[in-house]
Amino acid sequence: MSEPKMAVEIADIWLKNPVMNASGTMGYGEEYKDFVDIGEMGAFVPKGLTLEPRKGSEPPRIIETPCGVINRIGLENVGVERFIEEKLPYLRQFDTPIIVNINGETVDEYRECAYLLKDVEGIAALEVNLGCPNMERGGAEFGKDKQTVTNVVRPVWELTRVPLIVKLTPDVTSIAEIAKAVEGAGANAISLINTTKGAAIIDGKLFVGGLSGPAIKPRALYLVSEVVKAVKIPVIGIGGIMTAEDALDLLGVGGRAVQVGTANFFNHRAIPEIIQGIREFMAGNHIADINNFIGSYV
Amino acid sequence: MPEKFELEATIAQVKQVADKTYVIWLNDCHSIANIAQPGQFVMVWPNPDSYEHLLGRPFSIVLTQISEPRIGILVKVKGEGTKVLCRKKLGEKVRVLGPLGNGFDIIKTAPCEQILLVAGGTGVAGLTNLLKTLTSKVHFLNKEFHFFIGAETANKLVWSEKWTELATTYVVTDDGSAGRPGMVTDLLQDILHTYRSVWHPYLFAAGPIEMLREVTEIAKIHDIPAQVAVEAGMACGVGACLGCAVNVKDPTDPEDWTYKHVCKDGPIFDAQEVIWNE
Repeated sequence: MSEPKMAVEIADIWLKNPVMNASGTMGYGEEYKDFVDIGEMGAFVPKGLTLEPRKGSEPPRIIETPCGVINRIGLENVGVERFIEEKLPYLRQFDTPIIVNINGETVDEYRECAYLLKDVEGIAALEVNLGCPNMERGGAEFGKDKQTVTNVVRPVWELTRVPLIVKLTPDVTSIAEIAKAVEGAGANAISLINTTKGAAIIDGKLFVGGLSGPAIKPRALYLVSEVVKAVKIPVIGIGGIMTAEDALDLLGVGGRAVQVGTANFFNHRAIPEIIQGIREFMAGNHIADINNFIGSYV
Repeated sequence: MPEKFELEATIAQVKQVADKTYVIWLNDCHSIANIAQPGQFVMVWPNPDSYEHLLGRPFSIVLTQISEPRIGILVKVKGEGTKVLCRKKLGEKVRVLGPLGNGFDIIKTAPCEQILLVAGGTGVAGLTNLLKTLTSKVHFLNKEFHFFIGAETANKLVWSEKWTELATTYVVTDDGSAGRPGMVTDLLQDILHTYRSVWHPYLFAAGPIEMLREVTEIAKIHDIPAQVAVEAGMACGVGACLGCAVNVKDPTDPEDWTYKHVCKDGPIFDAQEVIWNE
C-alpha cells in the first residue's frame, strides 16, 4: 500500500492531516520550535485572543489533579493588534493553516476581533471560543444557551470572509441543542470540548478553573459523538487526547479532525508522535484514506 | 540548533543529604549538560509512562559533570511526585526537559569585587552551581566570594565542606543547631553593616519567598545590585502556557505592573523588579 492519505477538508480548508493543537497549549508557536515542526501539523491554533491585551489571572494559575490539570490562566494574551503585528509573521512561513481563536466578554468584543482579523493575510479560519471558563463575563457563559450562542455567532458570521469554527463548553445540559443553534447561526464547523469547570484545594484555598487532560476524555468522546449526530457540519474533537489511539477514538466517533492540548505539557513531542501513530495505524490496518476511517466506530 | 531537549534519562544515584532532601544524579543527559548555565533548571517526570502526575517538577541544576553526561538536581520531598522521584532506583527511567530559563546574568558582576551568595534551604542548588562556575573563571580570580547558607535546623541543612575552599562560608540555623543561631538575613545585615562601606558587592539569592523578600529589602537599603531565583507552579516550561506568572514592576504600564513568566523571562530576576506580594 502506498503512503496512507491523511488529508481532511474542513469548510474548504485543506489540512494535510487531522491533527492540530488546542488553543493555549503551544503559545504562539515559536515556543515549541525545538519539539514540533508546525509545518507538519494539520493546522495550528495560536493562544486565544481578546480585543485588548489581557494580563491574565493572579497566580497560581495551573495545578495538577489526578490524570489532569486545572488551569485558570485567565486568557493572558497580547490582543488582536499585537498578534497580527508581532506573532503572525512567524506563523506565515509554514505551509499549515492558521486558525485564530477569539474570545470576548461581550458580543461586541467578538465582533470587533472578527472585524480586525478580516482580510488579514495568513489566517485560514476563526475559532469563536464560547467555552473559556476563566473570564469574569462572557466566554463560556455565552456557550450555555442557544440564544446567546446565536447572538455571538451571527454577527461574526456576517463579518468574516474565512470559515468559522465555533468552540463549545461541555458544561451544558444539551450539547446537541447548542450545536444545532451554532450550525443554524452560520458556523462552518464545531470544535469541542473546551475545559470543564473544576476545582481543587491548594494551600487551604479553593482553586477554580478549567479541567483538562486524560480525566476528561470520556466526557469529550461522549459529547463529540452527540454533536456528530446532531449536525451536518464537520466536528473537531478535543479532550484528553494523549496518544494516536486517543485521536483515532475521536475520529472514529465522527470527528473530522482533533485538537491536542494538555498532552503537550506532558510530552512536548506529543503532536508529531500522534501524527506518526495515526500513519502507522493506517498502514498496519490497510486504511488507505483517513476519511474512510472517520465515523467507523459508530 | 535546538536550545532545549526532552529526553529519557536514567537514575545514576539517589543520595540523601538532609531531612527529606536528596541529590539525584541523572545519566544520559549530555545534550542538557553541555549547554546548561548556572541558574537554569530542568523539569522531571518521575513516572513518564503514567498519567498520575502529568506535570514535570522543576529543579535547579546543581552541577553538571563535564567529564560525564550527567546532571544533578536537589530534591526536597514535598508531595507525591517528589516522593516517587526520591524512591527511584539505579537504572530506572525518568523524563527530563531542559535546560530551561535564563540563568544568572554574571556579566553584570564585572565592576564588583565581592560576590555575595545567599541561600535558604534548597536554594543552595543553583548557587553552588554558580559558585563553582564563577570561581573557575579567570575574570573572577581577584573577586571575593561570600556564601551565606540558612536552614531551619541542622538536619535540614544542605552543606558541603568543599564550599569552604571556594568561598567564605557562613552557616546559619534558626535554632543554632548548626553554625550561628538566627536568620540568614540577619547575619547578612550584620556583615553588611560592618563591611558595606569598604565593599563593592553584587548579590545572588535563592530560597523561600520570605527570605527573598527580606534580601531584596536589604539589597535596596544597602544599594547592592541583586538577582533572585524565583519559583512558581508551572506546566509547559517553555513559555507557552503562561501558567508560571510572577508580578513585576513595569513603569511603561498604565497600572505600573505586569506579569512576567518564571520559565521564560526567569527564573532569575532583578530583585528590585519583583513585586513581593504578602
